[in-house]
Amino acid sequence: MEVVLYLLILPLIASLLSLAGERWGRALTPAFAFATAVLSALMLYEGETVSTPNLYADWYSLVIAGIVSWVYFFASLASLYYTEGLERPFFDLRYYWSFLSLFALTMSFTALVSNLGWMWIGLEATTVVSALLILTEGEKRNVEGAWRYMIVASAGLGVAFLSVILAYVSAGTLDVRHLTFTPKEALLVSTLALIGFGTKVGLFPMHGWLPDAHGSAPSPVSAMLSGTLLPTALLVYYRILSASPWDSPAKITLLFGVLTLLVASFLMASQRFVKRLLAYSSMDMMGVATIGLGLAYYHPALLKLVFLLLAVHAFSKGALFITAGSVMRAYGTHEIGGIRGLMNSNPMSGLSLVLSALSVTGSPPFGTFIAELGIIGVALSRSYWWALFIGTGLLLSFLALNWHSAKMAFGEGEKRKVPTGEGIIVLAMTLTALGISLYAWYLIVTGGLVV
Amino acid sequence: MISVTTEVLNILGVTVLLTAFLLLTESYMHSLINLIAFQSLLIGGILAIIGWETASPELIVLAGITIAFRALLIPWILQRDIRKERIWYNREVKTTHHAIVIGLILAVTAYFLYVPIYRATGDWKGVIPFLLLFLSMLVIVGRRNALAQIIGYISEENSLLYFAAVMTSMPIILEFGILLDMIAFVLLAVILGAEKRYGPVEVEELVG
Repeated sequence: MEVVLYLLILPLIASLLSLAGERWGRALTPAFAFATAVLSALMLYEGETVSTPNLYADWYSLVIAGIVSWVYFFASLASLYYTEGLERPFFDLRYYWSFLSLFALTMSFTALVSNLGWMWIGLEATTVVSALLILTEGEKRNVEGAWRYMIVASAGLGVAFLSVILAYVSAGTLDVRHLTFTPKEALLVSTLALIGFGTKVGLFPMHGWLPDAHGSAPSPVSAMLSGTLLPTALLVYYRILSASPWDSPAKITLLFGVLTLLVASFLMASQRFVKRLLAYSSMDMMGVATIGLGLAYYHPALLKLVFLLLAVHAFSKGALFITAGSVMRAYGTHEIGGIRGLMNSNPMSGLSLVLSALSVTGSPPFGTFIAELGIIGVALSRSYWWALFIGTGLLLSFLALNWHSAKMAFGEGEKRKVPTGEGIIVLAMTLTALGISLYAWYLIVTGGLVV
Repeated sequence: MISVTTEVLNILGVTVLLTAFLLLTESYMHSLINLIAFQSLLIGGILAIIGWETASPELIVLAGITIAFRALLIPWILQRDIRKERIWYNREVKTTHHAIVIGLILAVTAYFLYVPIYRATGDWKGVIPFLLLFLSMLVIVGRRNALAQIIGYISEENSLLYFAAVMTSMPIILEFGILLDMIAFVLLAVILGAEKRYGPVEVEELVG
């Protein structure tokens, strides 16, 4: 049996065992998640690839499966603290644990299958599971967030379904290894896929669900939604785009990416609520990654940098969401203005907040910086205008997020304690992002990664 | 020469389109539910005929599932739910003014949007489900009521399976259908769960 199947089997077992009771979930989920995560890291390290009739995993799929597994692990640790504070959950908490594992499973499944139809099914399944997770707290705003998410995401995935059908009509197969389109078909299929799967990525103008869902989900789930679900959907779009090696799909991708980046960065500055700010920041980063996918047509070496960006973003944004959750619980407010002086009262959470905010806005030495530099470079070689728009978006989002995070981290404020364990979890996530970044620099210096 | 089957399929297709327009304008909850049950029944019929013609057991099973779930079970659950509260039954649910006009404009636009698909595939057969998809999305967008949005979702699901069935003999269509139905059930469960928690919710508030 293929080793890669264990990336799916382990979360499945964890999900089933959690149904036995909440205690089982608490005890087993982090352990199983850790095993999954280590396995995925080993596969990436060994440089394995898989190609069987039903599974297809190249480096890109494994990066996504890797970040899914690791963020799942960290989210399960953070959930230990999160579930303690719940008073009146919507359903018994054993379902929370079960759905958490199931969520990781559906995402890894989407990343690893070889068939575009199954990828679509996997993504739709992520919608169902994550919408149920959003309901956990059972307040009215959770129901609203989950409702809007399901309605918008399934409408978007309806359009994606059209693109899958048309891909089958044009190519005669759904296997991503054998998809080939003529220019006319490529433009049609990839545009529909961009609208459809782009809804799930959070691209403008189909992003309406994103701030609501991220804002009302439990923080560990927000971490998974933002850090791993959006990149998984982007991977599916990448599979279609890579079967359409023509100029026009690349340009449309670029256009959607730039619009998303600009809109998100403008909206970020005016946010009042912590998690909505982070949600717009995720949208902003997905815009950058989409631009990267579009530009990779002109400069294929950019592709690896885009996935580096997704990996670093997953850990940093995960850390940000989990920090936000614990701090919001400690301070009893959802607003940015209500939180001050985090660095003084909770040094670990504060440090993680500042570093992760720098990381997701592309500051050196983080890997996101390398990727954004690469993207601006390629954009400059195409047209000054593209580079100008991208640069404006990046600068605005950098200022907005770091301004807000500095306001929360520094200064004098009430001393409210966040559990030490949660501080350690988020700091570990930030340091993982830093570690990946430093490894990327090492690879660039030694010639292992070409920019 | 057009065969009898194609003729029957076309008539059923046009009737489906008519139900979509009615869904846009109908303002009573219980008739909305009856309409979607009727539409699902028609879609089940279409799937069964295509399945019979192309000798594909998958499609016939899918037709059975369509009729069982979307024409019988889900409408039954919805009807039972609105009957529980007197304010729901026979209640008017708001629909956008001029919804029919917007629907017509949208249908014509969708017709032109189909042209690129025709150019790529050389096939006009998908145009009715394509129009239906747009009209269903209009039902979802135009209605502020959560139950009416579920009905829009079911109509969208119908259009997708219809599109898949007429355009090509897709391999995993049955799995698609089952998953889409599961989502419909989750949507229902969310609303019914919320009702249990907050009493008979004014679901209109749920979309903010």
